[in-house]
Amino acid sequence: MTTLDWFVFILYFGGVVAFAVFHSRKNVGIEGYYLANRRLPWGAVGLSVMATQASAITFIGTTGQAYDNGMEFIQVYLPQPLVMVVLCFLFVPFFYRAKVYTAYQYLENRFDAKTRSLTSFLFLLSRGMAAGIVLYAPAVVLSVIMGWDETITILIMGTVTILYTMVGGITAVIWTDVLQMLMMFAGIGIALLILFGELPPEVGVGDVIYIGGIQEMWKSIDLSWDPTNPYTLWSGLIGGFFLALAYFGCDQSQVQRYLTAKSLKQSRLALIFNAFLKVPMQFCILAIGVLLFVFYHFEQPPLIFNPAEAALVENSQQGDQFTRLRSEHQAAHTLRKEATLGLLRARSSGEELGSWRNQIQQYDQQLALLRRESKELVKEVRGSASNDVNYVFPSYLVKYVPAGVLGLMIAVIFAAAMSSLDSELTALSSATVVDFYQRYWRKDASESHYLTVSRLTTLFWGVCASGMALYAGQLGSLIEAVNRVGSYFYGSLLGVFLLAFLVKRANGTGAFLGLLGGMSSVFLVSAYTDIAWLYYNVVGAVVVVVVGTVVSIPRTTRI
Amino acid sequence: MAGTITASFLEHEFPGVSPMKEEDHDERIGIFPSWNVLYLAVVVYTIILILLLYFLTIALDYSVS
Repeated sequence: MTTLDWFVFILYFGGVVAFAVFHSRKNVGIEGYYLANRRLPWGAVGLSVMATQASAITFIGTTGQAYDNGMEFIQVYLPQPLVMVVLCFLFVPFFYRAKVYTAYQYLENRFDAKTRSLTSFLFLLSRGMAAGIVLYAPAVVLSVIMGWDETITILIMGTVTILYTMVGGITAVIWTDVLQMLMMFAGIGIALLILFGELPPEVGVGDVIYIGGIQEMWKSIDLSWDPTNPYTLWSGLIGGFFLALAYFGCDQSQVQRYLTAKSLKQSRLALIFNAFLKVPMQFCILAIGVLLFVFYHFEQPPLIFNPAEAALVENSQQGDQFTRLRSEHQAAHTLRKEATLGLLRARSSGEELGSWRNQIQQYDQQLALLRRESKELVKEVRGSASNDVNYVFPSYLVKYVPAGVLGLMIAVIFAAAMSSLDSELTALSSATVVDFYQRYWRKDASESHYLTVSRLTTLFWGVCASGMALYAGQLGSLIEAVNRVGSYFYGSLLGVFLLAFLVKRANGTGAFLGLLGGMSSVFLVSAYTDIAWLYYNVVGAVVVVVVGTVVSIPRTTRI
Repeated sequence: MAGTITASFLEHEFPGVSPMKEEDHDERIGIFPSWNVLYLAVVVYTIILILLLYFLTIALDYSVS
């Protein structure tokens, strides 16, 4: 990075800390610390909801995914506007009127203490483990691409986030999220502009769209019915709907955000804001990946973008095979570039394009095949799947973007990671203090006592997340397991809330047994069927509602 | 009218939880006369998004099949 890049990067950190300190001055008492005294405007809450969902891996991973597979990932996001409507209509009024601090607290009002404690514990278990990954994933990418020390990267991100979250509570978190989300919007816009600027001067917008279209990179809707494929319209609408409803409706890191709004109306407006903006934003992030795909028609792309993985295979027994794949890749790229330039000339002179399209498509497919084969080699040597998609965008940034912009884009990646982590820390802290400490240990302590405990709990979870991130590299496939934990619990948690809202006769025992039944069903489905992970949430939620309803039928009315 | 339907649908009286109120769903939101009309607008918006993306899928497919 140049001096200008460092200046921009340090400016970001200074801005975040100053912003957090400024907005945390009125932070008094536990309601102020966890709910900002319920006085935040919908715009800030809406941006914070968006920033919490958009982690660093969302930003760098989905661009890489679009580079390899085009826009198909957008289908997972399509039900989100509908989910926001269900939240506004059903979930938010209940949470808001119950005057709760956590989503799980509502379940004690509705059912009983054991249901509240189990759901809150499941949240702490899955989110607590996932918080480490939020830090680790971008740190490892930046360490490989930028040559930074992984430990220092994790410690800087972790320490700054812990400090402003611990001191400023939810008010500081939400206002820094606003700043970080605005930075992400700016980063997305700048990345799109720079990518267009880096293309050869003779390539126009129409050409970019055309070249992407040859390999079906703009294919956003797949109407086929295949429950094993998560990237179809039906998987997206059904599985994605339940996943998003579970995440936004039952995960304390999101529920806590909309409980901070001034009124029920403001909470709803924050969610409606997301309903209109989320899909277009995700479309733009994925479009960066497709633009990268077009960009690399004119520049030689690496066969593997992660230099550490490439070096690992090169120095292994499969090194010769990898070198052969790389030579073939370079040759195919040269031919594709010639064909692409030929296509552009033919387009401008109005000639027949069929043969050029045919050639480009063949080379596109050959290059994709070579990339798949090289990833297989990585898997063979490393023993775990390649995560090269996370390196496509950062690798481009380091090599091609001008001074100053690199600093900004790295700051955007940091912002994405920190804006997710800070929300998770406040959510984990609130669930620990409100659902367990205050509920079981100290029911009538002073406000200052709870505030101190809340800050210490935030510190505890921050240290846990940073510690886990530091050792994540040594955990190997456990990381994958951690990532899957959430998908096992989410649908079942959603089922409990649906039971609470929709089945009037449901009782605590029904909810508790339904939850256990839902989780068991998801484990069985994941172990013995091939259905896509998106459907786990549907299975979990439906089983909880059915079991919960049946168990809740009064004994006298059962046959 | 729409607000009444919503309120009656969600009229819960669970211990410790306040019941829904009609005004929760029946207030004016900017240009929208009620929340239910705004929700309908979001549903229509989603359908338009899906149709637009389907159009892009078809119109921008230049592959040689």
